[in-house]
Amino acid sequence: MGEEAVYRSFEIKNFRCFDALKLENLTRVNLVVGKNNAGKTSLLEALFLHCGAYNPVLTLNVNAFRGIEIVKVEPSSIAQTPWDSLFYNFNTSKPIELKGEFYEKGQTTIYRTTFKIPRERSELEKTILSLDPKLIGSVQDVLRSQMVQLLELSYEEECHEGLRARYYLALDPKDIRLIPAPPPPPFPAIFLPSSFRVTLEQMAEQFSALRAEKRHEKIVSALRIIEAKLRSIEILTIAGKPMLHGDIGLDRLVPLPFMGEGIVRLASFLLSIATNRRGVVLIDEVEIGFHHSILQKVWQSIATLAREFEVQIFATTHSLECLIAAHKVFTEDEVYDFKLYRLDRVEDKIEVVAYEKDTLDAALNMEIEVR
Amino acid sequence: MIERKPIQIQKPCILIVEGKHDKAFFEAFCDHFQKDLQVIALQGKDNLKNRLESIKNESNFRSTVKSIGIVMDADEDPKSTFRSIQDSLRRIELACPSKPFEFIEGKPRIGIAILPDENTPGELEDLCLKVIQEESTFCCVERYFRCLMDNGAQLKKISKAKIYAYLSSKERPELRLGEAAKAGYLRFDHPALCRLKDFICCLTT
Repeated sequence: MGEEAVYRSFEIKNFRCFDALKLENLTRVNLVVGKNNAGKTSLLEALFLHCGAYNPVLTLNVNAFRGIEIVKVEPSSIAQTPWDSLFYNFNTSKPIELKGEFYEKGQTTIYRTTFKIPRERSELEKTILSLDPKLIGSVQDVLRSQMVQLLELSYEEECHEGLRARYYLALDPKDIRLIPAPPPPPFPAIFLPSSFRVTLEQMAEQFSALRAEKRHEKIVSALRIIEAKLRSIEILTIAGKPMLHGDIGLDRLVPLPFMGEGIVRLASFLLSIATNRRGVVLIDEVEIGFHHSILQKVWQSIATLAREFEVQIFATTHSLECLIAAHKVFTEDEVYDFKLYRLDRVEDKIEVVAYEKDTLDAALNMEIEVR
Repeated sequence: MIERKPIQIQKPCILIVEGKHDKAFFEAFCDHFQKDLQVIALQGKDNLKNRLESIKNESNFRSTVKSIGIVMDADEDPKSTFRSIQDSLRRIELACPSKPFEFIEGKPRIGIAILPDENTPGELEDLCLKVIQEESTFCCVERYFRCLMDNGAQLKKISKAKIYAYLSSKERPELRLGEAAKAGYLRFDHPALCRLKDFICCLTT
């Protein structure tokens, strides 16, 4: 796949429904299928946390994507933490381990992120202060409070002089604190959940960034898949908030949401890809909002932009039409940088089945179920 | 590509055959002997490894399948056909029988049948030809083919041609071999099909 930055493999231990799972030979566009509760969304969440590298706050975000936004802090030390559901079988005694083999500029580096709930606070105080002595006082207050819940993130790069660091997320009834403040992640990533979309303001901001680089035309051109009359996209401010509007030849511009769910969703995919150069875009239930007749064009636009902006895509789907469309598009392209993975629940474990191009081709030809 | 509901593995015994006509034939054959199994067509012989792998990858495979029978035409070279199936099974890490018509224990157990047999070039139609040769009207088919030869006809797949000439005399002359088998135009208890019957019995035991 050239010299661009991509995950080559990704390994999960003790996260959500995964006891242990490893995806190998990852490529540019990775589509994940599987029955309900096989762990498709959890896999994207694990990738999202790993992409965040040093930022334990993302653990709260992934719960919010599932609609669990209440962060309740209980006084008892045995009370549930907001992170319990992230641990396999809600068992917080074993750490969550996320390990990604990342290829960039001819080199492979392993990044390991571990989450655990620290139990012994007296030791912890020394650890945190050794990380950053300036935190004395504020941290001591936090740690000595029985009303505080803590999550520890350990980050490690497995290479010569690789970075090692620890960050803590502390929750008390009034505040969420990061100790110490983490640096920005090494590469950008965005999670597009199935249940809600990127806000219209975020989309306007993403479009502005592309407009500034005069690269917005690629998005407009791709959106013509859905609205052939689309001439241009403009940002107008409505009630103090910026919103994308389309010129479809009427005597006024039309807000993008009035042009249908499909165009908003495709715009959110493409804007996310174009504004996360050399990063990762995670799309849950990629087929939602699209008529089957345009799925090939949707995949073509995703593939084109992902290659141009060197973005790696992880998407999930339940739709056979969607995966057939993807397979056709990548088969007809010069490079088949696409791979299908299926997650299977076998007794209490989740196992992964990877389809190479020829095997997927054979399965579709034989009309054998692949989902 | 898939236009109908995709095939899911549903039975512990599966019989893998080459194409849709073979599938129809073997479904009728197994029904006749009241053998409960699922017949799956490979829809071709090229990329055999990938075709077999796509069956192995189906999500119910591991939890459901106990035994597999693979039935293939010998074509020009029965030994080469057998070796090619062996090679594909090894590459996808399934048990690999060392001889045709024998099952090897494994998860799942596997047997391979080569038609008409492991030493003779040919195909399923050669076996079926033996079955219909004893029918009273078959002498008419033989006379017809002698006449064709005498008049310079260049026939390539003679067994297949004779079968379809014979089937054209039936009540529904348009049926292909598999459909004809389902319609009861072939005697499944003929001695020529005995070995195939034993193979299916062994598969479902």
